Amino acid sequence: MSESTELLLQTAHRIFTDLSTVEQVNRLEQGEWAQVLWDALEQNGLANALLPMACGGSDLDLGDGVALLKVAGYHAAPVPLAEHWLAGLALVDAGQSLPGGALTIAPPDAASGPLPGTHKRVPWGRSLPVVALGGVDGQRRLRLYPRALVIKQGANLAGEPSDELNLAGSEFSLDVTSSIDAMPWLARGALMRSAQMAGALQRCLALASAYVLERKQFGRPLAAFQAIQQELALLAAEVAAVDAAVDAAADAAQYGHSVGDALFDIAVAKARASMAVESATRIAHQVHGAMGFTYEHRLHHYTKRLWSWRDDFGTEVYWNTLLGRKALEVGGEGLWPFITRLGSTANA
Amino acid sequence: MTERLLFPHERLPAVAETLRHQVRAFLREELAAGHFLPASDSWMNASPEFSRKLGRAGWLGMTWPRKYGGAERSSLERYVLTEELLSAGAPVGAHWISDRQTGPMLLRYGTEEQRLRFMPGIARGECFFAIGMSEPDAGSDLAAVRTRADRVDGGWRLNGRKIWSSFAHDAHCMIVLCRTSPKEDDRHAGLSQLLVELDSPGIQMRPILNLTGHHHFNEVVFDDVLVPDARVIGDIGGGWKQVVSELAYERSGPERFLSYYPVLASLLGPLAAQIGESDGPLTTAVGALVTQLATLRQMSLSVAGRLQLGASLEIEAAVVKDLGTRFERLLPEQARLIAAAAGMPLHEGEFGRLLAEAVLRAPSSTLRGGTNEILRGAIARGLGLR
Repeated sequence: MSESTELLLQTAHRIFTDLSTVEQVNRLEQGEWAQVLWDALEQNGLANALLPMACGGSDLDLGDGVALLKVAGYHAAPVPLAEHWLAGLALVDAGQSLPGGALTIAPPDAASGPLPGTHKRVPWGRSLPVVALGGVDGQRRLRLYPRALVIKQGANLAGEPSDELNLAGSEFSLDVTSSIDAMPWLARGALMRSAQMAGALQRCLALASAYVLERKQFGRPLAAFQAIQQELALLAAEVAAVDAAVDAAADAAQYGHSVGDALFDIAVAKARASMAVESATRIAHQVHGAMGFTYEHRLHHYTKRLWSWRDDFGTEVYWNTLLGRKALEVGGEGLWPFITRLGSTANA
Repeated sequence: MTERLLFPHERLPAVAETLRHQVRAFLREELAAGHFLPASDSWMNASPEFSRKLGRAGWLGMTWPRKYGGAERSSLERYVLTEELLSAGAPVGAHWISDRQTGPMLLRYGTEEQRLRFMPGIARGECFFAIGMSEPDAGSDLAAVRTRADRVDGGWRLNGRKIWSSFAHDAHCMIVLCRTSPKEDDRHAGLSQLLVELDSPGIQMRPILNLTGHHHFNEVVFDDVLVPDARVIGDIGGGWKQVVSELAYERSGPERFLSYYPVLASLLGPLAAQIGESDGPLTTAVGALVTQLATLRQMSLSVAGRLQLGASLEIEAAVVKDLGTRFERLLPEQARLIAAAAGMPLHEGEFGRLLAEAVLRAPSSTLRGGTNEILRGAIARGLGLR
């Protein structure tokens, strides 16, 4: 990691510490858009960090972008950084410029089907311009909807806005041929979401470790009980596994030149991240006792996100099925060569 | 962010991939010639002949200096060799201990005479070592060893007993952890390591059969065995520190998650034939095993890459071993469920044989080299909880 990236991550950490506060994240659950935080990210070159300099970005490589998303996840940042990057990259790939301000995406469908008229679960769909990809009259198109019609406002388990939109009835300001397929788009999203999950998992471990050192029962800190130590070691192993899988996928995607080259690495990362959620959140909550079940304690900002995010951009069932199919296709002889190509230069 | 365990992605150098192809070609030939049958937990299968072939290919002690019989190759190349051998289920048990930990230990703590005397033989696959750590009353609590060495003219007189010594009956030497001065307040003090040649007078060996009825473990009894000063490893009284550093080599390697890989490989062919094009939960379950395996491999590689740079990664290694060996317990059980759900016969063919071996051997995965409960205690210490 370069010195400038190190600096960027420190800046992100500081901004999120100051502005992704408990109160701010709680206000998001009431539907409030965190404009102050977004402005700070823009002013510090973070909002567009992954995008080319020409678009006001820092031209960060994917591995560093993933590191930044981990920091965002660690702070439960109440802004759609990953969605904005996905939308921005899609526009850049199509040779377009960015309209300015935060963007969101209509979640990619793995099937390269037609652009649906309505879209469910669009993050921040009510307040941000929407980039959608899909087939229109047999062509892959990319469209930008500056203000989509909202059918129904909703929220995911973490209270992040997640809206149903009527795109067929909405006006678009851009309609161009898209160069990327649905699958690489989905994979890119899966990698980014996995990175946020890695960060949120780290925070669960940090909160749990701090709590068991501070909370006393039977005259001793909880951390003094072997039963608690064993559980936290299990939690730490899950957190470490997700971190490693995400780093490997980011690295593979970066030097494989395209996200498509790293499809299976990303499959492993998103599947592993989603698989970790059950036990990691269970342990984090269990050691926090009833305190972690209150609205007052911050743990829920992270566990609720993890319960939501594990379903985004493909569940562990989706990605494991993709990997299982590949395993069955290559068979007993081919599986080991397939596994050893993961994380290396060519695994297409 | 808070302190965290790091597993940065390790990219394998091109030279390691070249080696991988050479190893695969060698294994194909050996298999074709019927020289070995792929096995579950194959690092517990010893074939001195197979080990000698690896020695001739320059694949034992391959990271060591040439003057000690090594090939001065990188740890990552050794990693690739190891994962290829294990995934193929090749019988690597005879040289396993001497290549994995004895050589590195002699390099770190041995005398020049000891290195020149033993390492070239290890690298040729002609000299095998056994571990002499556990005792009847010293398992997880290794510092409780009672085997004692008393000072005599020119050396030490060794008395005591070691158990669980894998392949000691085929080995030439054992490194024995023993007490060289009485227990004091610091129970880690006063321990030393002696290199004992197993044909020395006063040594008796008795098989300890494992639950399959196989002779793999041994009890080794030392009765007034004389060990010359020249066979002391490192410092008298420095045994504990040496053993702990030895354990780091033991804990994060691919043998901590690949032991039952052959079960998974042998499942795929019959499973595909059984379920055809139909996709469903069984495909997903196979994928879940692939996901966990691929992740563990990245973690293990990351530790290997950083150990090479001299990092101290006791906690990271413990994480790999805990997670990896729990996966080893899971894999045969999952494979069995998948096969049964697909209507595959469970007790026939290659899959049936490998599954049966795995089921019977799996209980040792989460015991050998430090139980998972002890490892998790070490991880908790690393997290600052104790």
